[in-house]
Amino acid sequence: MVRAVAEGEFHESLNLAELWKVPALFLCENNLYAMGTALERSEADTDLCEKARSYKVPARSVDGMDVIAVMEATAQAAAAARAGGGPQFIEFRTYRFRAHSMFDAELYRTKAEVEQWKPRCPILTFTNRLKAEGLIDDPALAAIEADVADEIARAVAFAEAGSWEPVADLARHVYTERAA
Amino acid sequence: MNDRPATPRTTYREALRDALREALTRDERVFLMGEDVGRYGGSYAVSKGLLAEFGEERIRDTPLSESAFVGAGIGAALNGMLPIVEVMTVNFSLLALDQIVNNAATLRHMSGGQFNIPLVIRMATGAGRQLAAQHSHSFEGWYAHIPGIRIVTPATLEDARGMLWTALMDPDPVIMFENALLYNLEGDLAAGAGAVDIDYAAVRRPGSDLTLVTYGGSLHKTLQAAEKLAADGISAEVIDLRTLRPLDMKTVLGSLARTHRMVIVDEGWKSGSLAAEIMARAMEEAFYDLDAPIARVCSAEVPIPYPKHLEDAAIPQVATIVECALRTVSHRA
Repeated sequence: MVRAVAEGEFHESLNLAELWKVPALFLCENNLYAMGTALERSEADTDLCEKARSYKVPARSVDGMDVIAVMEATAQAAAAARAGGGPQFIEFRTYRFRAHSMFDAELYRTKAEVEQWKPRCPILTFTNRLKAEGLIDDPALAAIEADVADEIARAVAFAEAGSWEPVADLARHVYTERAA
Repeated sequence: MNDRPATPRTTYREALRDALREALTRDERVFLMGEDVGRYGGSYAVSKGLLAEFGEERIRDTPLSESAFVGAGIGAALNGMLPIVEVMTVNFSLLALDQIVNNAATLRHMSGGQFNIPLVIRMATGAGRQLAAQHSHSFEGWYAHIPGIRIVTPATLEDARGMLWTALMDPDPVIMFENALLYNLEGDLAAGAGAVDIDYAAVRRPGSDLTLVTYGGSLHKTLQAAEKLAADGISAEVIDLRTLRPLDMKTVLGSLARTHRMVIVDEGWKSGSLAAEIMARAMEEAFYDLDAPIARVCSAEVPIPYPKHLEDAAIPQVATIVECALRTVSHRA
């Protein structure tokens, strides 16, 4: 979500991080909307990298739908931060296919717009690329899908089988318990 | 023979500085950051000299970015440091409310006890220096509304010297409110003074006719009021709450059970205030101990004014405390 760039904290923390040369990555998933408000309806300048650069934070924009590009850009930024280069900013240009939440009627965008983005789905394009380059075949892909589905099913089953937190513990962990 | 006096003269400001120095010396995880804490020496000169003594790494000047540097303090605390964050005044801390209320106060509970935030935030509070409405309010009662943070209000030299270390050793976030009129408070402090508890209210003056409950900057006005009442033959017990959250109601109600009458002195506004909370709890838990309605001396419900005579009229004063106490003791049960 791109909403945070309008918050004072975005600017305050970029400034502080650069001032103190903190090895921090600022990763912005620009999905074009701050919940339901398009970027150009809420930002005077929609170039997010410029905002970071104005605090002298190195910034770049990459295709957030391209798995390899995301990986490479992140690795480079992490290396630069670790090497003492201070904070790094990356904008991942991406999109959210689904509604923001179950309460979101999606009145702010057209179905056609969503459909336009779907062919760029990072999972779809990455698997197509792997297949085209002969790095994976359909049975192997199906095995990965099955593994993931199984892991999720096991996590759900684990959670479903768990017990609810006792109501008697409602007030626990508001403060650290002290020895009596 | 050691001829050093056992009780050297000191000030509230120096006691706070000694506490900071002790903390920085005792534990290398401790560092201080905030606006003007370094080169300037602290906006109230509390941290004067500490930059030269402890260096830039541990005495850190910050930009005027309350939200960012309080947030950075929370992050540092989550990662094993013991940060002391100074926010110039409680009025400016409102810019960091999101970090304090939505992060510092919630993360332990939200994580089922997995995360601790051993952070101390210090800030000045209170009126009386003609700094007008945007620099003179008392929002400690607001903060005391929030579960997950501990609120302490040192009002004496002992507490200024001793609360910081205890607050730092507390695994949860603690906000320390320093009433700005107290920085010049002068007195004797035992040479060996050190850490004090931050759990209990203190009876600062024993008495039998009524209980005066207060904290922070109002403590000294309340003690003066008790002195005046004594001249009229009225014995007032003065309780210094010391910690506003969690409230030590046991001490308050113990006193009420003896005196049966109570006045609360609080520099906050009455509406939705800490004073209101104490009244409510007394009513819930000790209604039948009361021989008179509980009364309050609070600030007038106005933004604190700039002109001296209006500022004085807006906040609790010795005369108004005495007047309220006299009304309360003359009330027939």
